[in-house]
Amino acid sequence: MGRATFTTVFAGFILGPFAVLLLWSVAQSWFWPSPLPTAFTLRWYMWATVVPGILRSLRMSLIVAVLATLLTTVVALPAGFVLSRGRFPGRGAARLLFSLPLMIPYITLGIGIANVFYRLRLTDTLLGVVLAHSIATLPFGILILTSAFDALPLDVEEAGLACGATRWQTFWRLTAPLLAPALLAQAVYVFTLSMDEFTLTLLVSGPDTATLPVQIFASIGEGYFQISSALSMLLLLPSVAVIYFMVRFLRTGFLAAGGG
Amino acid sequence: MNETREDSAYVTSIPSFWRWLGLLPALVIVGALVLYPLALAITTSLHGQHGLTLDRYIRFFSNSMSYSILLQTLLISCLATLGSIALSLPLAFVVRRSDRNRTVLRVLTATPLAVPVLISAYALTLFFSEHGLFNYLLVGVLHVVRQPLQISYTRAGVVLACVWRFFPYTALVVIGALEALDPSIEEAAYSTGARPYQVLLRVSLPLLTPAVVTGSILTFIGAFGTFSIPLVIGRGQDVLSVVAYRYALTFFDWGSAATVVVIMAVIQLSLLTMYTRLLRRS
Repeated sequence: MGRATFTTVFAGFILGPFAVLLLWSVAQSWFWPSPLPTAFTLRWYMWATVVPGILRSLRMSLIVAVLATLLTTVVALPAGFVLSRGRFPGRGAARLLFSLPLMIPYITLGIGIANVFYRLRLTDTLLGVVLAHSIATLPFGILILTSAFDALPLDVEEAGLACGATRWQTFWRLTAPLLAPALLAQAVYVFTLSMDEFTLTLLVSGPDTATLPVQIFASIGEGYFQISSALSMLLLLPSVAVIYFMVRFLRTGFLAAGGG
Repeated sequence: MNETREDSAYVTSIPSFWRWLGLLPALVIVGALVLYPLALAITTSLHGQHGLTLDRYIRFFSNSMSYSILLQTLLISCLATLGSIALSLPLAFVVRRSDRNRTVLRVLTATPLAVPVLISAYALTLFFSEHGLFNYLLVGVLHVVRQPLQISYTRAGVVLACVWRFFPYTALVVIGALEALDPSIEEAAYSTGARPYQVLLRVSLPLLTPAVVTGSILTFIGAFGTFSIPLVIGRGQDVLSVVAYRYALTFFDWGSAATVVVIMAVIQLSLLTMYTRLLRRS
């Protein structure tokens, strides 16, 4: 098999599923054995703007993502600073602890948290879903920001402190602006992570707090090929946007300082 | 990363109070949302009629149904890992030899990692369905088979979907390892008159084995713990993660659900420990 053949088959394997998803999302009708839909339409995408259940799940996803990103950033920023700059005996253990959620299957974390939420009546609440998302996003937020702080040269802070500024002042005036690109990258990544989150959400959400992935799963279960595909295409947008931004930032060297 | 820099004690000494204050929110969240639920799951699984007992675990391993699902999950993960290796090795060689297509291949390899798992699970279900694109190619274009193959909603479908989603963990490591290989070793082998396939079998592949093993562990872990993929493309009874979900949300049997997920966590942590040890050695 030549290299070109391999590349084509490989590309087909990777991209084929998305081609099918795209085609179903614009299919008016599609029957076997036709390789393409027999009629096309944009109505499924329009449904997304009109059907109340779908709009609600889209809104819920956005609200949860914003809140989860805020929470993660506010918590990960000081933690990242201490983990990077501080020198103390528990440091390695703390880093390990914060990456614990990444080492345990999500279903384990999900069953665990669902069990707790059922006892505390936190299921099907906005707070519950946001907290559940934080389990998934916080480790990444801390990882990204810790390495961002690691990559920042100490000279700047040293200079600030030597000139008599307090730690607070050096942080806000000197360190934070340098941190901005990495902070933005972290926020975008965490936001996308929250928008995509499914396993944990399925276990703690309910009819009032269905996010877009949960809604998509419900419509998959009902067998609605076209609407499920259209909604799936919508959910792909943040991921594609993230890739686009990451590539752009990498090219202009922004992330070189952030190390994200 | 920090160890190679000159650490200015002036900057890096943070007073203990601020240290704790900075870490406190993160500690509270991880403690309350991860450690406590895990502890609760463990105690729930150990809870019997008269206090702590290993009853549930014994029942899990002696019950033929739950035991067979454990074996099935392991089997699916093994097959997915083997499939990933079978894909990653030729891919690595093609990437090494390619000039123009190199970036394309790397982006394609990283694509499954960038897409939400639920979406890729559904896209794969459609792709491999009886009237999907894959069967269209097999039946209508290549004429390899006469009737469409049943792939979606079978164990084979779960394996293929896991290969699609988790092969990048193996591929990226192997691609990197092959690129880092000193070409003079293979050249020396050629100069002894060995044929290409002999060089491949006796020289290149053995040199790549550590990378293959390390990458495969990550693929195996992914396939073992995955939830959305078997949920969407499987038959509902295939793997431990879906079984745990059904115990919890369909039967509200938190005890059984906790048992299953604790077993899964133990297996995954053991594999991760193996992985870290292998990394340290190489």
